Amino acid sequence: MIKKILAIAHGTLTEFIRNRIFMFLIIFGLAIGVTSSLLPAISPEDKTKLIFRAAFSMTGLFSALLIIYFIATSIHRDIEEKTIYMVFSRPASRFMYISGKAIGFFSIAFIMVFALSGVTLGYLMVVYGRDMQDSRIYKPVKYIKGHGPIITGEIANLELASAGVGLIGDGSSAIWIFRGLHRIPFKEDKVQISLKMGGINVNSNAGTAFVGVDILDKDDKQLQPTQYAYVGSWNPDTCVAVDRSIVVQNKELKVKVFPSGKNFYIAPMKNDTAFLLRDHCSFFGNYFRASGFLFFLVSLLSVITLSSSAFFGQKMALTLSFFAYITGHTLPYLKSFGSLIGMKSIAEMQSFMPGHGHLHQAETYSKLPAYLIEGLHITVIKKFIIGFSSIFPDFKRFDPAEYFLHGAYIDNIILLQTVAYMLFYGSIFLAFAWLCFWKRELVSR
Amino acid sequence: MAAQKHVVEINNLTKVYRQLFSSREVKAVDNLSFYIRRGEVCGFLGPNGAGKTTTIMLLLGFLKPTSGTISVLGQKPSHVGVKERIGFLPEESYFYKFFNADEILDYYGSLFNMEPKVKRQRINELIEMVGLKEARRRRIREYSKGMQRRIGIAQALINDPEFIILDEPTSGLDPIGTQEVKDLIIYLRRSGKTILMSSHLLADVQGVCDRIILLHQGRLIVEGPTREILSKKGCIRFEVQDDGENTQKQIRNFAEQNGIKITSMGEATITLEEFFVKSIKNVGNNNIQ
Repeated sequence: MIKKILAIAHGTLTEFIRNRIFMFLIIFGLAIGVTSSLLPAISPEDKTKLIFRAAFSMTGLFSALLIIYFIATSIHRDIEEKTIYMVFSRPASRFMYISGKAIGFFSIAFIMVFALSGVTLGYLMVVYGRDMQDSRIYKPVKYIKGHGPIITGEIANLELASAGVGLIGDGSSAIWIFRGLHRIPFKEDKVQISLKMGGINVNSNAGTAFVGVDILDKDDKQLQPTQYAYVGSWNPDTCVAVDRSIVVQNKELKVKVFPSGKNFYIAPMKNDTAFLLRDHCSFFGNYFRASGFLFFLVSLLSVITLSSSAFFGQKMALTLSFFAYITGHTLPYLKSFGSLIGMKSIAEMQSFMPGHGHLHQAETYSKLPAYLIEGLHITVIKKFIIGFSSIFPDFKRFDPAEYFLHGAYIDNIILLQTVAYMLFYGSIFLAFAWLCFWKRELVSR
Repeated sequence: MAAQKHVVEINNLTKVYRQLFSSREVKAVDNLSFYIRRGEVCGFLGPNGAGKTTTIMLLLGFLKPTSGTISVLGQKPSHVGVKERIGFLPEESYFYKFFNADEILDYYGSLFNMEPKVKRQRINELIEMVGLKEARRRRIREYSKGMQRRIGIAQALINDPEFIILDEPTSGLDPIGTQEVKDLIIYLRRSGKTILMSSHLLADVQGVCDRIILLHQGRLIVEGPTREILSKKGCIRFEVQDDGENTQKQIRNFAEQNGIKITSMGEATITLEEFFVKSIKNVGNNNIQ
């Protein structure tokens, strides 16, 4: 059976390669080139990070569009052009056909994602080669996750930050505390501490600023000179180096972060994290691990398209698959939207959506037409939206930028968790595809 | 057992196509019953829309009968295992056109779990048999209709099947190709294969089929041995050597004297197809000389 499934998979892959869809790579390369030259002009974020962020988004989008189109047309063509007769007139079951097709589509997803990632990397290597080669990726030591932050000093603009911890301005600071550091067997001379913050509010046109970071012991004694780290309002994370000797000699360390100027505020959130990182792998290794996330996403999307193609015609399958792609990426918003339906005041909405950044969102939702705010039917719509967004796969889980751009190593556990998530949903959609195809008559008049 | 004697047994088969969300129904096959004996070549005839293709689709398990039963090689047509013993040439070339001849045969061979060595040998034999040796590396989308038909025949035989379904096997072929296919069918019958041959070209069917099944509007109209069905009751046909004008006169006189009624008499002709094949073969032989 395996041989037959692999033969069908091989046929699917050959079809993809011979259809010259790879010409798409050239368009993609050009798109990356244009983006990389335009984006730095419109955003203050670090240029390389910005381009990688755009490249990941574009790789995901291009791969998704391409795979959806290819699968929907491939299955449709098999049925309409009756090539499927030549498979089912052989000792190949419908289960084998769907399984073989799925494996073929996974192979295509693999080739496509890594080819597009390769094109991106190749382009960026030519433009920013040396900087990237020198980069190192740091692995988070997960069991020493800093708790906090604890805010000291003046807290500004409380009304804006009612759902967060508070905005800290000049003269105030946020402190993260690390405990049990002496248990970690560090080999490197330097240890990196990465701080993820809710946001930076810069009250100037520059949009960028520096934060000061102090490393203190449990008695608040400063252990090394203050380091200043560059942050941008779009990228409020920072990473500072700490001497190994400081880490191994102290059971507890405090990391104090404060704005280095008067014109901006840091907005730490309750769920902000700080990671202790250690030197782990090369930039390239982590880059391709990040691309793996996209591969899992495109694979899941290919199974979704396969199941819709097994049941519907080409146009309907294309529509549903694009709908799934958009829904999967906007699921958290959809869930919020569902929860907000029926709420009658901004205050009620804000209490549901913590964080000052959601104020605008809450205001937008509050302007929804009356029929979405009131009425008995709202309960049904609300429950449907919340229910749907709870069971549909969340594509944000496959966002590689989340890890990669923060310089964090994507370890095997994270990869395995993502694979498990993909396999869980993939199996459900694949089972649906088998079921649809099992019952489907292959001849129509 | 009947299943051993008959390769195909169809009893009271009916297939009705229904459209989703519509009350419209089309009865493609209507209470059809027939059988195909092991080792015979059975011609499956009928005008367009007679239900031939639907019956073939039912035989291959692509469709489920609305009512009635089908047995193919003693099994239900949907049984995957039974396909191991069936070869199928569809009406048109439903192949992946991005493959070349070698690859398509390899692909279909893999679906039979053939050993790579056996498969390779079989592919070489079949490509040679259908005369595509020179074109074996060309993509199928570049093939002419006749070449596509040839590769279709090759793929139908890749598993050395017991029962072969040929849907319009000679369509798109030139007379020489047609003759070769007919010769091949005769050869396959001699090798013990059972063949169901559907065709619009009645001369092709007549030349090779042992038995004929004629459908119209989904119903069985006529079924029986070809010779029996086509024989003109009460008539005898014989050919004599023509030695000039006297021959006809002598035969007429002999008939009159003995009370034999001649219904037609004239110059013996060959079919245009026979003439074409003979002429092309002669040109070929002269060129070789």
